[in-house]
Amino acid sequence: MQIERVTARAFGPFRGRSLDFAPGLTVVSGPNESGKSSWHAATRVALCGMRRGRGAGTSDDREFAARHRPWDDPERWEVEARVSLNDGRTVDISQDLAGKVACRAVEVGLGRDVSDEILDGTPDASRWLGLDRDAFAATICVNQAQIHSVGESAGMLQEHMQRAAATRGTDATAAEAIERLTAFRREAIGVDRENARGPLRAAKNRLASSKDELDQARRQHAEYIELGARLEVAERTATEAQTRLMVVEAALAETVATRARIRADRARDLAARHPSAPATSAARDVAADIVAAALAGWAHRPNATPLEGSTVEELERELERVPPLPDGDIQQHSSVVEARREAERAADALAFLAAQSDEAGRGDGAPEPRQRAARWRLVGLVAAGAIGVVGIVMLSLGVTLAGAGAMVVALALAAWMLVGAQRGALSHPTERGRQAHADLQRRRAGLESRLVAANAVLHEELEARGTSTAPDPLAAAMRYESECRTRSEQAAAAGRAEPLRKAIAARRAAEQGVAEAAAALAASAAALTDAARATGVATDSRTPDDLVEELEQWRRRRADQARLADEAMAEWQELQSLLAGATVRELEEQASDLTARAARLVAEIGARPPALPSGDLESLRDELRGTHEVARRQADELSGGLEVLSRQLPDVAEAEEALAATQAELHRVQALATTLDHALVLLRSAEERVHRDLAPVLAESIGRWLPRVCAGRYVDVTVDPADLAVKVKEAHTGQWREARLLSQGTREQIYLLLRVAMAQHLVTNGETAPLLLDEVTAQSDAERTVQLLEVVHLVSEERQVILFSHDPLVASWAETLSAPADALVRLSSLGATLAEETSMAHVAG
Amino acid sequence: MKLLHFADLHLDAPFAWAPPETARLRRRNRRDVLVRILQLADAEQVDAIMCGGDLFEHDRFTPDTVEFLRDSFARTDRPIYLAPGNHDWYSDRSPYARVDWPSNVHVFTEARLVPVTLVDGLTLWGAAHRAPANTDGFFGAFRPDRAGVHLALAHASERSVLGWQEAGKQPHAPFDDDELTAADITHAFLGHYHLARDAERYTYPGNPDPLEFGEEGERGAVVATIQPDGSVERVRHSVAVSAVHDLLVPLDGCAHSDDVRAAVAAAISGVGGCVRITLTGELPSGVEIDLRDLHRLGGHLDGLLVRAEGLKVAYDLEALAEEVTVRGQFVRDALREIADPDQRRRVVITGLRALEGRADLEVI
Repeated sequence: MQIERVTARAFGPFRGRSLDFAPGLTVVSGPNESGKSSWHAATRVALCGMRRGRGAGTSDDREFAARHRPWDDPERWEVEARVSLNDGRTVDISQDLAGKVACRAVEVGLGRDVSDEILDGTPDASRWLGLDRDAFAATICVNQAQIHSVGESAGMLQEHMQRAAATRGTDATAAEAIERLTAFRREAIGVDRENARGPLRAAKNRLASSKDELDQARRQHAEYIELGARLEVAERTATEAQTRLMVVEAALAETVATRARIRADRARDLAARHPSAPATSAARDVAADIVAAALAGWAHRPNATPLEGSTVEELERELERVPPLPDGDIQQHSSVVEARREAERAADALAFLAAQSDEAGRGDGAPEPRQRAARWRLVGLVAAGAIGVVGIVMLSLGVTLAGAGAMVVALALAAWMLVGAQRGALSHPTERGRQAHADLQRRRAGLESRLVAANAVLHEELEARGTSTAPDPLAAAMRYESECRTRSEQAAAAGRAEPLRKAIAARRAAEQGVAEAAAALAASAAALTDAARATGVATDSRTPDDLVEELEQWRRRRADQARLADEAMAEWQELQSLLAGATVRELEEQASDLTARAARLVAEIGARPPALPSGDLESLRDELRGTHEVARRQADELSGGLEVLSRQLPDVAEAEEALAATQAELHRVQALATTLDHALVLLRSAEERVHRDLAPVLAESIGRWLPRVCAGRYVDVTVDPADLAVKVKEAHTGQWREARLLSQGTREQIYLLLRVAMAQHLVTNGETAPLLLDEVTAQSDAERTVQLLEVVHLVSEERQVILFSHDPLVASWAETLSAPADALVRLSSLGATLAEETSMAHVAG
Repeated sequence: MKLLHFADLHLDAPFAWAPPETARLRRRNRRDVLVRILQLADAEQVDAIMCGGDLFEHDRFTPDTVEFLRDSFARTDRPIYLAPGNHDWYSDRSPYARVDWPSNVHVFTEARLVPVTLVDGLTLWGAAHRAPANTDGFFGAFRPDRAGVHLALAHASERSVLGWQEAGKQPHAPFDDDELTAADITHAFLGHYHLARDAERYTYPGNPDPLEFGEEGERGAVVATIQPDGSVERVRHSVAVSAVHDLLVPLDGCAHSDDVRAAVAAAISGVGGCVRITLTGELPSGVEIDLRDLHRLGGHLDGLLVRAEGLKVAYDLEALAEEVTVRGQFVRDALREIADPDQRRRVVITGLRALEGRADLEVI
């Protein structure tokens, strides 16, 4: 795009004035107040127009209008521009800056209205460059302040590039935007740590609190409902307990009233019977006591039964007849018995043997031995018989062992005798007889010795017992035996003495008792007689039994009288007890009151009182009273608790609303955090990518011009993709130096080159963007001015550059321009211009 | 016989959108509505008052509300029939069971229709919800056990209406219209739907005071005259104390924040009560909107809620996306990567504002 001409129809101080621009470098030079700024503004607004909208517009728009709107005719504010595009078209753009209505872009030649291609409220030729009004101003226009800032501040070079890369220079740099977002996030979100105080954590904490409060509110609400239900149950329980208590109290009251009525009635009866206290019956007790004692004595009199049996005297006589105890054995001593037995056995054995010898002699021609054997058998049998008798006697006397032994001996002896007799009858009279006879002789000798020994022992024993053994021991033994029997009988008789003595003593005591009983009986009878006299009962010709009967009758009569007296006294005492200091009337009144109270209590129970209970009403009442007190206390406690709870009950609806508000707030903060984080991520990514893409473009663009601009001092340039920082390489050292640290003039030159590069980079639709430079050398010294102008001239080889300057040095330098693509336009002062115009107007008029 | 019917007062209901004071005011208003209803009953000399459920919120009622109800009902000697709904369901822990109601108050307590003789030949059959949900219909198997004219009072959902009633309504005690015919119910006085509906055999009075934004239209308490032949003549009376308004405020053409304020102020100047405004249209990118500032414009209102979900900001994203700048790259990446339109809008505007050096980086 090239700007061929700008025509100020009515712009600032200009009326119908035009300014033509060369395709290369056009220097518009003029002193102050020559309208350079106006031409600069007119050029820009002729191309881009002004924003069209309701209202007063932005402050920039208002300031622009204040500076460049014609003062004499504010309603007519017009400017035009003719531009030629890379596609070959030439377009005239008319801007009606006052009304913003008659604005159009018309293609020269075809006369076709092409306003729609660039319409943004009003035609905006910057759109052919892919820009907008703000971007055009930031990208295409380089002003004094920008050049100056780069020169003054080392960092501005980089910042300008960043700003251009971020927003085409119209707004913040990406880093600034990121920093702004980060700071905003820090302030509006904060960190999500437990002890943090930022909005996010605060919102979470408030949400948690709200949830807790709502939970608590709901919990307390449920508790309140539950407590109410429990209170209702407790009230019902207490009411029921009270009703039961009232029933029992009514029953008790009725019972008490009934008792009171009974008491009053009783007292009334007793008072009627006993108007005064009855007499006591103590004076008659003495006679009654006497009679009672006499009757008791007679009733308990002893029986004087006559004794039977021997008298004391008889028994004493019998005692005198009892023999004394004998001296000597009253039973055969065992040693005597043994000795006797042995002697007898020996004798028997010898007799048997003799008998056997007799048999043998008979068989062998010796009749004497058989006769002797027969005699001895006879003796033996007799001895056996005697022994048997002794045994029987001993058994009868209780000497069992000795008696049994004697019986055995007797039987054995007898048997032996009989067996020996048979043998003698059966013995053989031959050789055997001779041997038998020898044998018998031998045996007899033995037996004879034995007999002698046994007799000796027997003799000793008998002598020891005081019995003589003459003529022979066996006979003495038999005599001993008889004596023992006699002594035994005597001893038995003597044993009756002691029983007789005891019988005598008993008899004597019995006889004394009989005597005493008789005395007592007499005394009882006398007592009866005395009692009868004491009570006036006749005693003449009366037997004790008669007296007893009379006295019993008297006592019954007496008892009846006493009973009546006692009854009267008891009733009197009962009366006093019933009255207890009150009068009968007072008792009746009390009973009446109690009856009325009972009726009242029954009525209080209700229309249909239940059946009144019976039994231990007082215990039941106490129990029910306790139950009612407990139930009442529970109900009161619950009621109190419910009252307290109702006063403190949090509002559930408000808690829900608070929760909703905190949830909404948290959602807002979280959504904001998400948005900010997403925006930061995308911005950082975009910055990185764009810088990465832009850095080599800028480096290449600067690099093409840098050697020429810096006269070979710097031969290479890099641009850091991270922050678009520019470094240049010194030719003679090969060292890289940051551009911001270079000289002011060099920085300005590099800045211009960067602006050119950026403008080329930002214009994306194939057009070549012109550059409008306004007083870019105003703050430069001559050297720097020339340096900048050289760069500008170089740049103009590729694109149109229009330079506005008041500096005569610039004009002088521009004088040296000779290429047809370059031009110098000298502006005269506005005063001279107006005079010329006025003059021309006068001439025209 | 003349009856006054209302329903769905929802005492102690929450208002999540409102600031605390506004919410409290809304709840106080609902009490004033009940007072108006009782005053209307006196003015119309009705024979009885009926409430078709949801008189209060069981999960939120306060002791003060219960006392208010008891005291209010005690101030009239007219019979009051209450049919508990799904929000004030009957249980032994419900205020319906625990409060010592005055003798003129009759609470239906069974989950089936039970009769109350209004006059000879006219029976009112009432039913109660005994749980917050899953209550079966009352009319399907019901048949009256006596002759005469039968009216019903219940909190129930007529199925054919559910589709166009407010969103989120669940069918509690559902029934069909023809069940009333089969049940010989001459007319059913109902509650549950907040939109008023006068059908041939039933009446939804509508909630007497709007609860939510969008609850506009005729609603209130219905005075029904029951003729001896069973025909019903209905007159609906407004008893609302408050009003709610839902307004759209287009901001097209606003060049700066003052224009926005003026547009909002103009929209709410002629209304009262609670107002919800929805900002629409497209604003130039440079216009800043401060919602707190806009809320302050509603000082004369009971409450003001401002929404801006539909508002667009006039960035030429297409043009921005063609820039070879960081801005352009950012816009391209955002348009490509963010699927959710609203999130995309917020991210793009946030980034652009940051690049513009603005401080209002929170996009509403």
